[in-house]
Amino acid sequence: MASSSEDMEKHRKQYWFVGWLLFGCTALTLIVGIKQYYNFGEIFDFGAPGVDGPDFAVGLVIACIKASLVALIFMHLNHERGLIYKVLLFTTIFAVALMALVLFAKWNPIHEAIANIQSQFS
Amino acid sequence: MSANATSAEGQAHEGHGHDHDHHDPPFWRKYIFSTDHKIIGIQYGFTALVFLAIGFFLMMVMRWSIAFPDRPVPLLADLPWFQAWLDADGKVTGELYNMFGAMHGTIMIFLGIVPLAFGAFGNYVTPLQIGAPDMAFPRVNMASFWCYFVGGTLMIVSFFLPSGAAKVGWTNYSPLATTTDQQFANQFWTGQTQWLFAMVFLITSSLLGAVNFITTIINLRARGLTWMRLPFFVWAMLVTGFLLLLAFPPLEVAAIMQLMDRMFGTSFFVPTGLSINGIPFDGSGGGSPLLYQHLFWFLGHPEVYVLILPAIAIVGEVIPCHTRRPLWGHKTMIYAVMVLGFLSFIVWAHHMYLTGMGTAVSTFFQTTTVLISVPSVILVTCLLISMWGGRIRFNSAMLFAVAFIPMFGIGGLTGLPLAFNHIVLHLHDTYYVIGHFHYVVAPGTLFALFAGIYHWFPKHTGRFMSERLGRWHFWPSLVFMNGVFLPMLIQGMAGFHRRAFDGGSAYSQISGQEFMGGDSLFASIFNFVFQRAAGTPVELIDLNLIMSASAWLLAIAQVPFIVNLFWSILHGEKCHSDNPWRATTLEWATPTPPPHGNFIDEPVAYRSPYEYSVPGATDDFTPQFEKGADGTDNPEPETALAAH
Amino acid sequence: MEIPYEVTARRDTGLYNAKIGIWLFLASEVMLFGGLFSAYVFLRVGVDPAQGDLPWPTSVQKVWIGFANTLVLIASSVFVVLSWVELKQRNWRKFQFWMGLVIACAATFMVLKSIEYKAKFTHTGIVLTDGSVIEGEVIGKTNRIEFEADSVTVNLLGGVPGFVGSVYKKEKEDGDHGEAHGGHGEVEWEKASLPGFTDASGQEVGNFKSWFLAERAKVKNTLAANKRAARNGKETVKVETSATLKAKEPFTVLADPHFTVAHGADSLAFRDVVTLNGKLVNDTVSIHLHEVDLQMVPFENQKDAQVWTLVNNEAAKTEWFEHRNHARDHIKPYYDKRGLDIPRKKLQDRHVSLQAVHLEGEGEHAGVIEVPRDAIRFISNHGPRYNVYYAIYFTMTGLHGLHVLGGALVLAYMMFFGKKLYLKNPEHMANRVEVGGLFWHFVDLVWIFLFPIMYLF
Repeated sequence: MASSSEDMEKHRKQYWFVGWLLFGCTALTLIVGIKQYYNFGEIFDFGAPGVDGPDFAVGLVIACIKASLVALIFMHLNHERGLIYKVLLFTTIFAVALMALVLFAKWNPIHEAIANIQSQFS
Repeated sequence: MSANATSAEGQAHEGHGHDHDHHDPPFWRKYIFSTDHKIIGIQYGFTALVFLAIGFFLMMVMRWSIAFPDRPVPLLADLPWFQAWLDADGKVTGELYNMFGAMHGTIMIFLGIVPLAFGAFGNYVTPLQIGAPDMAFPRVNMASFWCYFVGGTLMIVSFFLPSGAAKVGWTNYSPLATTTDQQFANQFWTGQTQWLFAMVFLITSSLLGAVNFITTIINLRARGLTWMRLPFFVWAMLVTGFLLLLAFPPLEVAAIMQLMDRMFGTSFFVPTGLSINGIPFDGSGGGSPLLYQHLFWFLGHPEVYVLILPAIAIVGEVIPCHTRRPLWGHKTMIYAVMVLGFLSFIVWAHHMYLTGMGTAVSTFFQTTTVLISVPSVILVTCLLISMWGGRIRFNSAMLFAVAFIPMFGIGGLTGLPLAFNHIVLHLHDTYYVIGHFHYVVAPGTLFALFAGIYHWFPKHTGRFMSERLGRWHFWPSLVFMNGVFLPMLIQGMAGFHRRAFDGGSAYSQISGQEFMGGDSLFASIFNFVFQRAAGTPVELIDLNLIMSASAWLLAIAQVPFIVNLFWSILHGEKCHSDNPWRATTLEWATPTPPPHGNFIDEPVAYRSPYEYSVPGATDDFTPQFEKGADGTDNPEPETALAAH
Repeated sequence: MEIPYEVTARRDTGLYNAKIGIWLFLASEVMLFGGLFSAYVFLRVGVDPAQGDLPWPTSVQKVWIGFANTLVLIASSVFVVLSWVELKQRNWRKFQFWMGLVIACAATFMVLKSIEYKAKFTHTGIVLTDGSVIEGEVIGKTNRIEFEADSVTVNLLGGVPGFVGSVYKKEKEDGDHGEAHGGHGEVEWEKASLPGFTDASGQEVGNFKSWFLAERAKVKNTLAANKRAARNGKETVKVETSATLKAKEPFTVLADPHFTVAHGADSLAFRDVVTLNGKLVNDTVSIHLHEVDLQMVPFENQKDAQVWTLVNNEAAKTEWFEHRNHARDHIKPYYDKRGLDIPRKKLQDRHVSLQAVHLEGEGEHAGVIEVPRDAIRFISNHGPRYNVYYAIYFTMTGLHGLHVLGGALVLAYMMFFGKKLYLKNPEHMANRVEVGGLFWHFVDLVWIFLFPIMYLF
């Protein structure tokens, strides 16, 4: 990446800005997370009270945004070379496959369908 | 004649005035804690050969127990260590058999083949073939070797602990692995815990190595060596590097979690309500043994390709050189190896068909498993066609390389039935599976590694290995390898269980019909086949003798190799040039042996790697590093310039 | 030839070696933490209270610690990247300043982390046989089995017994209960001589280990001889495969129940088949009660839960149910509005079923209840053993902590010892800081995910 003096000044400002943005996002996650009885899901009417899926999803989305900010700005991925993207692409595919381990172990739609049909006849 | 500017002088000019000679590092810095990729490669090689020998020895003891379950083991019964582990009559106990079985697998795979294939050949040859002075991070390279050494030493030390070494198979499945050896107060110094601990070291070693290899191949290629001009060996190493890099961390996670289970009483892999010998397991439960299996095989399957890709890569170098023909389908092979690498990550659950996985998931893995045979067959076919119409030099290296193809072929083809879950119902945990993967790894990979040793030996020593001893090594090895593994396929199809330490002598009393599981369809089919082909189980048990005898003779067949290896260093026939095989790739452009820093002048690649018997050329080979006579060869084709 | 592209980027890849290296390393780290996150999902989805698993505990952490640590790590990430900017502009002093702040952040992180860990290790949970859970602090070492032994039986076919020795040794080192040890508190079981022990024939046992090995060899030889004799049709000798050592004076051990397999009024058996004979002194756990958790007890049976007989205090019980009903009423309007019943899962939710209990009392034993061992299904402090949540929590944050430690050491090395390289080749130094920074950002990035999944949801 370019490294002239003005560029660096620009970067410095950008880093501070992103830093504050990350602080803000963290606070937002906290607000979503600690409201135990009335939560996001309830306010927007897509989930029941208590700590629940919708809150978790919102929390994870914010975390993903934060993570991409760190990766893109702090880790300079925004002007990195294609080669690194290629490496990371494969890594991401396999990491996602790893996340789905639980599906591989427990997901059994065909058996469920058969069980459904059988229950209709019994 | 090849007017090779950089190396024509050959070894006659040992004292060539390159500037690395004037401060010789001390012996321990040069040969023990060396950062030179060649020394590290050789260190890897020798350590791995020692471990291979140890793994082989364990197997010979196991085979005694299988062939002669009621006779004491000869020679060993008086050794102090064995006295503690053999039973009072000097016979192999089930416990000892389990220990040796588990450690045979672990040692052969993690301490033998991978370090020899990836660590030794990869380290020695890759930087030379890409025209680099060394690996990108020499000190990381050294750290990688020493991590491997520590891990290996821990594995061996664990034999001498009161608990003995790990006993639950090289897969170390939980909850057996979590709860075994619990009777020892000091859980840290038990074989099972040390296995995990050593694995963490070995994985670290592989990760460091993988990072180093990939960086080296990406960034340290010589001028003009564009991606498609890279020899197939380098490509295979690149893919292998990625396999290690991305597949090993999940196993590291599994090892760490199992370590937590054993050391801190967590229940990652222990289900609720487990009790052992009627005593409830003292832990919270709530974990899942299946999680361990998934994490393990997420590594486990790519690991198979870590074993096999370097082997194919070595054969891919030996065959063109000794047939004087270009590697047929160089580009196709490169794409095939990339597809193979990718697919190897999404087939792991075919090791787990019988864990009760869903039908849809199982269908997915059956499909990918069959798919992965396509690139494998492409690779083998390309190697086979490369020999078509060539002038083949049947020296030792070439013999082993040629034998690799059918041996690997048998291994691969016997694997195809195992891709289908209904056949696995019958073959799971039988000797068929053992026969299948040993064909891939033992006569397959090992033969390729021997080929590599015979092929590159002159590069480092300036001497050839003895051809006569090479033949005495090759032919018996070929015969006895098949003597060991072919009967396994037959026994396995008849249903012999792989973990019977007495070789299945319990079966000898039963008739064929009972043996095969009564009136099932499989029983009828297999009885139909085997009552004709091999007879009753009683007769099949006798195959144990053939296999065991072959195994011990195979050990004797390795003696010529060991003699050859050491004898030829001093007394082998001398090479008269730096390029004794008249090969085309860059490693032959260095002096012999390559000095620290490898190349005297910066090498440049002018052409693709396998230009043998080019029509119109004056010689039957044109090295990569040789300029064209008319000067038209562009060292940097458009692809390289475009990135500028 | 020297290794090229150590500082400057290669033309066609646009990267210098170390940068490719660190990105590859980070790729493997992604897979490492990917595996752990995957395990987290697997374990969390797999928890099935119907099969007797403890429900996945949520909101058990002090959120402020996690929040503070997130801020600290984000700040340190900003500081790392600023220190790199300064180095690019060749301001060594300013680089050191920012890098110093990074190290300070790392130290803060570790301190907060250790506060958090310590609180967990001193907090204990007891799962009773009906699934009700008592949480609080164990008084002294009452979670151990106190046993007064006068003889020891060892299995002569097994390994060298270790548990009794280790228990005995530990208590001596700890110093408390010193008097209870009887006459030979100064000897070590495994190594030193045990003047207080005599074997069956009345001989004094000197070195325990060599005595054991000699006896074992004798037994094994006899067994072998017997086998040979049986083959040749000769008579066999009767073999005693266990031996009992008598102690001159009784001695007391405090045995961790994790290392024992069974115990009764007159014997205590360890996992290595060593049995102490004597009498059981104390087998009840005294715990300072903080909370009662009835998630695993059906809502309508909670009044009859086993825990209330142990607590034996009507006021406390009434208080607990008031709290519980209050929590239930809190979520009721949502379902009322929609004309639904509160689902059973919600009724037994952690927020409803885990409530604090205050026991009145005076003196040292205020608020302490005695739990007999028979009533306990499982006991552990809130360390990794307690359940799979704590297991994965300690594993992930522990590994992350190791990464923080490693990263901080590397960065500190650059800060304190980098001057030489900086003067020689400032660009090389800047590259090193960039690479170190990349690792540091990755560590931050992992924490960004750990915070919500471990602390909030």
